[in-house]
Amino acid sequence: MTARLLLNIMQVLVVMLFSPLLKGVISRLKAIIQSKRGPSIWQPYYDLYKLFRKDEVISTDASWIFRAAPLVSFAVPLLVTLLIPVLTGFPLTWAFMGDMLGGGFILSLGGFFATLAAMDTASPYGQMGSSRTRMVSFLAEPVLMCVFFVVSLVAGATIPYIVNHAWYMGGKSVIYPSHVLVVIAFFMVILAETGRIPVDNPDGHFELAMIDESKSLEYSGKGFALIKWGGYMKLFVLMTIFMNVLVTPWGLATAVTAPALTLAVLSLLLKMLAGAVLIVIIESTLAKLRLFRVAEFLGMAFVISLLGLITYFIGV
Amino acid sequence: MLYATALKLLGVLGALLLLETLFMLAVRQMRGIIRLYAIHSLLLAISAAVVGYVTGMYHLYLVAGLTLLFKVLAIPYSLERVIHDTILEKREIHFVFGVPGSLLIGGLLCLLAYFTSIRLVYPGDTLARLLLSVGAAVALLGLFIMVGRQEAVPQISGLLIMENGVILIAVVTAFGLPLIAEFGLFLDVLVGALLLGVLVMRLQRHNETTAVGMLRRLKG
Repeated sequence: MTARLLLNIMQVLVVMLFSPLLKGVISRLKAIIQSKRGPSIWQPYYDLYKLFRKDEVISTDASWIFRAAPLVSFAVPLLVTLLIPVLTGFPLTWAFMGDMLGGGFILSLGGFFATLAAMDTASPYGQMGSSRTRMVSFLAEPVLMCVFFVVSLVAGATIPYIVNHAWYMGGKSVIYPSHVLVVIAFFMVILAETGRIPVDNPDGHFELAMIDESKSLEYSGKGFALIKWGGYMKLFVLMTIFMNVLVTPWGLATAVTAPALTLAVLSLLLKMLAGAVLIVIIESTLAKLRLFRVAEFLGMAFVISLLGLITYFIGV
Repeated sequence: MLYATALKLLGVLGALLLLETLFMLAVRQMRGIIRLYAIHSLLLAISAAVVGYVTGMYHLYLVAGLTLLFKVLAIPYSLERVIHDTILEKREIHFVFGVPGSLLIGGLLCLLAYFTSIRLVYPGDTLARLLLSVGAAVALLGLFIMVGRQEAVPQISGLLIMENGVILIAVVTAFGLPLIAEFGLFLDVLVGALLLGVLVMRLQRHNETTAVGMLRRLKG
């Protein structure tokens, strides 16, 4: 019992510590592809360190929501971490607290608070950004639903640990037509939800074109650091679900021993590196879509996931 | 073991073919459409080769080779050469239904193809169950690409996609046509694509546009 509790905490720590690294690696790889040298992969850590030491400026008209939002968006990915297999293949203490749908709800709670906070200061850019974020995420919702349907049909459950187990131990094949379609649709949703390139430009600093970034425009100091870190963790958590539950359910620790856990951390980092390379390839070859083309991108994801569902039912 | 893996591979190839066709439904750039057609044909060639391996019908390797030669290399290359840059460089294509609408209709067409073709399959026939519905869906989607675009080049690509779907159906149900008919078919497609390319060029020279959806009446 205590061992499982400790492991749960360790999973949270791994997500907290390594998520800025993922971001740093992505930026560095992107710079290398653009034949620049790029910032060090530790740059996000320096940024966070700097921001945590800075003073915070908050508008006198801002309400408690503005102060609470950074904490919520920091805490939400950590809560989801409790539900998903990050390091271990066996369920941990809070594994049955919620399923994939629950995780989706928790993540959208973070988005909800960020939206409220962006509207709280009445900055026009914040409001524009929050309405755009809402548009993207409500278009992403049906895709997620279809993905969860297929996953739950195949694995017989929506608890991430059980799904992972079904693919890892239960002899269910990962190479399956419906599975391939669902994986692709889910990846498109991850790109949309974390504000990566075909939907939003994470490096853009032009306020009128921002979608995800504009929500944190009003923040400074510690609040900004928390929001940034929360964003890194959200990407890390979604990539973990993508890799550990859907694409590569192997390489998780099956025993509570130090070497097994070290191996699990290493394999997780390797998977994240593979994910980072995939994201970098996509970001370097595609251009950002115009805002109203986002509906086309996510519509495509929806049709793909729907086909996955139908393919499963036809039994192909 | 190898046999089972090959069957799995076929399933995945079918999913990718369907995906590729859906991408063609959404893409707006003319050059992009021709490139996507090349990839589509490549997937078809691999599928034909795998079906050949699974069934032991080795002349399907030849079908795969011909597909590679004609549809992956010759037709896209010649279409890009024949059709002038002024046509290909134009980036936006008019859709009759808009992209999200086309995608939804495409999804519905896939459903139609799935539910009708699954009834045509003999129960033990794994191969046909894997790919017949995909072939039917690809053919229907090709037809829809032809109907739903107001530009000549995407309409050509729709025709070619439809033909790919029909070839896939032939490969999985009848294991391809007799070799001589196969040759004739491939040459037909090549010549057809070339002729259509030339027609598009004439259209461009005559009307200074290839937006055939705008044509209302025939002129002498």
